[in-house]
Amino acid sequence: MKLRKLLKKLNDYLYEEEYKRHDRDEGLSRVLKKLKKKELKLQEEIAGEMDEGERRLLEQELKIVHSQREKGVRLLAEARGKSWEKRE
Amino acid sequence: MLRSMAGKILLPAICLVLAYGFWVSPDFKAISAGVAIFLFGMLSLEEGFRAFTGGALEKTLRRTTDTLWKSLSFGVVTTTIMQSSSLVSVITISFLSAGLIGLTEGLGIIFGANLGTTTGAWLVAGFGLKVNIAAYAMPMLVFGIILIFQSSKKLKGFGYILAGLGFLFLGIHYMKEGFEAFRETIRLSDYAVAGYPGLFLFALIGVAATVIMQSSHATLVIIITALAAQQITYENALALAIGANVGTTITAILGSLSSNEKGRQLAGGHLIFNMVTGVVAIALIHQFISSVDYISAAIGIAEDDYTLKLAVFHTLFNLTGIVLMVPLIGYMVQWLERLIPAPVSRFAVPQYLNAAALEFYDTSIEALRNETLRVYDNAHEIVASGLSLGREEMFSDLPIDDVIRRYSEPVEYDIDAAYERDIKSLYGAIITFCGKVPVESQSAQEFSRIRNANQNIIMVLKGIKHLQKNMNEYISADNAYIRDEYNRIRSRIIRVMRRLEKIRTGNDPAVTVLSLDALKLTLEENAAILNERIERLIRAHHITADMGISLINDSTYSYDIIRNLIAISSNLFHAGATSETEAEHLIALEDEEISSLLDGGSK
Repeated sequence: MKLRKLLKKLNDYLYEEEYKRHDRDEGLSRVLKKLKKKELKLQEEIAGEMDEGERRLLEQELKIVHSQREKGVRLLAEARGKSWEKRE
Repeated sequence: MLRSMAGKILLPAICLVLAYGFWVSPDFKAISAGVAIFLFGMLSLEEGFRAFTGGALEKTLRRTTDTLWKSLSFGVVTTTIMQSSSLVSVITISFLSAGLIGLTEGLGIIFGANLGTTTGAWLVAGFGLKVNIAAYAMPMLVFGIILIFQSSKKLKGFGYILAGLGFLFLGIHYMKEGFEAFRETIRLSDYAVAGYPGLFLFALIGVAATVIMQSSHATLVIIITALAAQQITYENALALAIGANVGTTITAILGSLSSNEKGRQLAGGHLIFNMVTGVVAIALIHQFISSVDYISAAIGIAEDDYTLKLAVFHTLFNLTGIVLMVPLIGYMVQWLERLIPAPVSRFAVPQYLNAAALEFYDTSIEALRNETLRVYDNAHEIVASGLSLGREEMFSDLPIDDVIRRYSEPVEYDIDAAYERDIKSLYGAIITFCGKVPVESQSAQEFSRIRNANQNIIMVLKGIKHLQKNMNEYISADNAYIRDEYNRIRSRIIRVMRRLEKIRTGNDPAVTVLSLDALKLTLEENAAILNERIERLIRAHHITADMGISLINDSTYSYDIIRNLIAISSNLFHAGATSETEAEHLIALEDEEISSLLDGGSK
């Protein structure tokens, strides 16, 4: 392992709080990506669904996923805003 | 009574004897101070390594102990690094008690730790005596103490480890100096006892010294420094080393007293291993001495370098123990499980919650999770029987309507008795255990989620109990309307339980905590539809007003049951502290957000 990489690892280890915050943001953005994929998939399924009852269920799920994404985006924006404020 | 008397007398007696010794001989004072500094170094080292538990150590342990050979190597490596077989034993007992590893793997670690601890003898004999070790100790102590004053937990840990090593070195230095000065006044080697009586006598002294100091390492350092100063003969030193090896099991035995039967089985295995190894070493001492001479000559150790030869002997007889005992480990496990069986009780007894599991954050969480899973598992039985259903069918792939038809008659089932027998004692133990977990761990998200899951389980059972009376009356009623409504309630609970089980065990990579939101929305929708239907049934006189009231009440109970079931899934199966799970919990919709979605949909 190169010295720079080793130093980065040591830095992460010693400054855990900062690392944890970064980790949480990463977690949020990973989940948001998954939700976006799920939303697109549901939209495709709804467009191709002929059965009225089934389409209603899918639409409901889409509504939930969409709300979850909105909430996630808001949380991520808040978290990033906070960490910027802290640095300034 | 007698024991407490002895305890009261022993400590002042030891202090008096030591004080007299210090007064008579300044060299004895130096040696004792060396031992004290050395032991303090061990404590500091343990404290330092503890700062790193609750993370890396546990993760490594989990990954590297799934087979016997891996656990053996783990024991060797960790004990070599930490230079404390006691700490490794305590960690192993905690992990075994919390159900993270099995007895075979636990024994593997302990056997490995026995071999790992022999590296201490090599370090002291090969390095400690040959160089001016105090010169290394001073900077270590200075840097160590500077780091201890830092606020970061990790830096503090490093500081303790560094200071611990510094104190170890300083202790060795004082012992060495003490014994060398001692040589000029008294020759302890004049009291050497030859032959087998000497072997047994010195082995017993070794046991006693290790039991008092609770560290075979400290005993070994005394042996090596005394041997280097020619205060004891080589043969007596070998016997002392054998004794130290047997005496070290006392730490594991003391550690296991607060643990469950698993911990006691492990301590028993440790004692057997060290006793057998000790007896074999004493019985074959001459063969061992010749082998040590042969190996020493082969690796270039001088004929008269008895300290290094002692290190060779220490490693050789522990290695012999491993070679002898590893093939028998399966029998040993069977025998220990028979000898120290799990207690049989009329009431469910906690399997994982014990003082040993409280030692580290990871083990306490794991023990809590495993015990809660047992409560949840027992609760499944009560839910199924309380709804007059078979548990297996409830979770099978059979169409729900078929299951309901198969169980169309009420089953008499005493929920209170089942609660007393299978839940109450476990729940009580969980609450008590939670109270004992260190305050800083209690605030952890993971911890509070598991605690909440337990409350959710109890709420589910309460709901089932309330539901049972009317359910039993109406599922076989002549009135088809009320019968259908109660079967609908049963079918809804089955559907949710199946779905949750699928989420729990399933490999659905889609965000699982968030999938629960869809279930919550369906629940809210169903509740609204159900209320309308009940009103219609009453208006049309399909059911009586009494039936209607029962149905309204029981719908509320079933609503609470399902809500709590969803909460259990979210709290217990998705409690893990990964960044994604945390994010999912953050994003999951609150009740009012679900309701507003519902309102938006109906508009």
